[in-house]
Amino acid sequence: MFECGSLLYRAIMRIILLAILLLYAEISVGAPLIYWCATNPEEIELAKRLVKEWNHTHAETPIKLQPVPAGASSEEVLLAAIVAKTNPDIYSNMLPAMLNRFVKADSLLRLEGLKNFAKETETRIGATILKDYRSPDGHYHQLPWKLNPVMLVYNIDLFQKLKIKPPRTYGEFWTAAKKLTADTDGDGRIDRWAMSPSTTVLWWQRLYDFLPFYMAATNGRSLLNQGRADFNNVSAIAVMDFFQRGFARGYFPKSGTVSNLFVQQTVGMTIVGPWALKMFERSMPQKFNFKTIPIPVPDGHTGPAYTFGDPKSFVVFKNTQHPEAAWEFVKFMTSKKADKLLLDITGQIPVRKGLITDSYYKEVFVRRKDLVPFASQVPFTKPGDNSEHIVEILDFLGQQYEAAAVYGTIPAKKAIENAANHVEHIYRNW
Amino acid sequence: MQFEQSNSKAGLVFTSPYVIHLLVFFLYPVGFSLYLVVHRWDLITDPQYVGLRNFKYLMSDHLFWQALTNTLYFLAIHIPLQIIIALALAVALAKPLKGRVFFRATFFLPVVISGAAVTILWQRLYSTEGGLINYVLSLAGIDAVPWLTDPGIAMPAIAIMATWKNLGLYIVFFLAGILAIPQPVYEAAKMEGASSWHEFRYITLPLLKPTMLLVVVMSTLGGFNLFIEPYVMTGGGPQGSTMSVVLYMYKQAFSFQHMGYAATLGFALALIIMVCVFIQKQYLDSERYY
Repeated sequence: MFECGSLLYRAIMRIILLAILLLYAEISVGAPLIYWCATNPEEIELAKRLVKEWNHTHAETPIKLQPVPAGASSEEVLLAAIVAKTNPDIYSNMLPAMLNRFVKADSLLRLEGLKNFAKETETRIGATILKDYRSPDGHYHQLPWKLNPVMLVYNIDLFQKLKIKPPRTYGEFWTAAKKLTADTDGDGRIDRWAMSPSTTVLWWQRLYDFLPFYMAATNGRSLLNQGRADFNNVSAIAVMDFFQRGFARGYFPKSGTVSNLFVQQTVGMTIVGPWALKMFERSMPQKFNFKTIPIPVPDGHTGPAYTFGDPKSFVVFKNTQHPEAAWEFVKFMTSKKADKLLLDITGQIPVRKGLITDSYYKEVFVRRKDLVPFASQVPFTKPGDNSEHIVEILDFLGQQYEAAAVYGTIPAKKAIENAANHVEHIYRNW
Repeated sequence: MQFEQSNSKAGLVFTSPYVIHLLVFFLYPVGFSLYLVVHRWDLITDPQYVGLRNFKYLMSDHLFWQALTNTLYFLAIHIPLQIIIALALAVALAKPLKGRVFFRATFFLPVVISGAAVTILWQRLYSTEGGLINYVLSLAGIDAVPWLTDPGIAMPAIAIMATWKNLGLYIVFFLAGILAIPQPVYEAAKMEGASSWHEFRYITLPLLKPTMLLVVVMSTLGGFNLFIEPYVMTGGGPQGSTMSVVLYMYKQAFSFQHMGYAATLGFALALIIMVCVFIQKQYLDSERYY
């Protein structure tokens, strides 16, 4: 088609050669490390800012930022990516409860072998908290990054108007719930409720209702202990009974709704983490004041009210070509300065010891007083169970919650027994 | 001889795209699924041979039987409802009505809209608090109906939505069938004094038998594949009342990573569909066509 030696032929050959050289250079020298962050706007903004700063000073190991691709859950997306070998080098939104599945697949890098791991974690987190994040095989595959303690937020204006005391115990909760639940427009139908716990069986919903209440009632116990159900007890029954009463007495609506009832002031309380505060401010049709308090505990409970921390960790994937650079980037993302930005931009709480007393962060807490209760709760949070079966366990617990709490078709005790037996069934069969 | 050889080469070349497509997208997945049926596989570790364990588990898995019962319940509402409404509308649209083309296009519109978009729209319509349907009912003094949160109502609500979504396609089938019936047959009946009902009962309906078979088989196949509606609207709830076999299979595969068991569910479903379609075909083919 083209004559060898012609101008066009030589030009095409040069372009091909240049493309090959560029590709080689990309692969061998400056191939960027891929970093996946969460998809909410605040976290993308934080990641963009920090990645830009990193790339400015680390031209030899640039980072390419990509929010985690859309999917039913980021864990499902990550699993699919590992199978297709399209996983990133670094991921910052790993739920510790899901980690063991990736550890079993041998897809995560052990971090304790990397430079200054012990020093870094001791300075930032401390040994006591760190041991909660150790994998069942005894190694460390994650660096705890942030916590979102799940707490009770209530509408101050509504509580003051109705002369209600913020509830610390179940008894106080029922007193508040009775006053809150009302037919406000006099049409004969209830149109304001105490709280609106989820009625769906989605597995992760139980992380925001049953689990925080269970942890609060048991001084931080989790659901499993060495592959066995550790929740067939009076505390779990009391928690299930709490939700059952709430729905049965009409304090919690059963109806399907697509809107946020708390911002519409249709419920007086809600269970959320600090990530929701900015969303509340953005979507309130009418401004009102709200305050955060610990999850209520059973009457007569002693000790602090623990809660689920909804933690997220950094992980590095084993197939990365640059493990040391990836680790350096993780350290950069969890540095003192980056933690301050995390707090300020996203309103999420870094896993850092002495955060609330450290003068470096004082300025943020002065400006964002609404974050103080969440930061103060950090010592009393737990990360939840790290089990490869956690999705199935929480899914079945969700079915029992739906049957007992939402529809009241089985007693709370039976629901807990069924869920505990099913844990044994899952470990036996899968 | 030379011509025959070059002809067979050309044949191979022309059929190769389809053969490759068949091998890659049909035979390989089916073969791999068969392999998975006797294995346990969580996507990321090596598959483990388990023999017939997945089948034994299926037989005792009450959630599978509940999902199958739900799916059959959905079919029992969806298929008759779809046939009756589609046939009635097709009969109406076959007549020289004013604005006939507009109505034909309007009824077909939901078929071409994305299933996920339609489902989200209906989820809002069905919302107990603030949903349009309950608002309209409240104007008539009727109490709010918990469309998607009452275990007894959720599946019929989904069946109504699915019927609305697919109606246009079946109207087209019936319309094509009706328009293919020779007009002299109706004219002869009229001359004999047949009423409109008699025409429908003794001419239209019997001559639509082949179309009816197509619609029933297609509705059955579509109904057994019920997934997007419960996935988006109810997640299989309330109390598992809208958990379909395909949604259960999806959950086993992609939420719990039980790939081998999900493949077993897939084969069981294929077998059930084959039996149902065979029975339907036997029944609808049993009577003579006119």
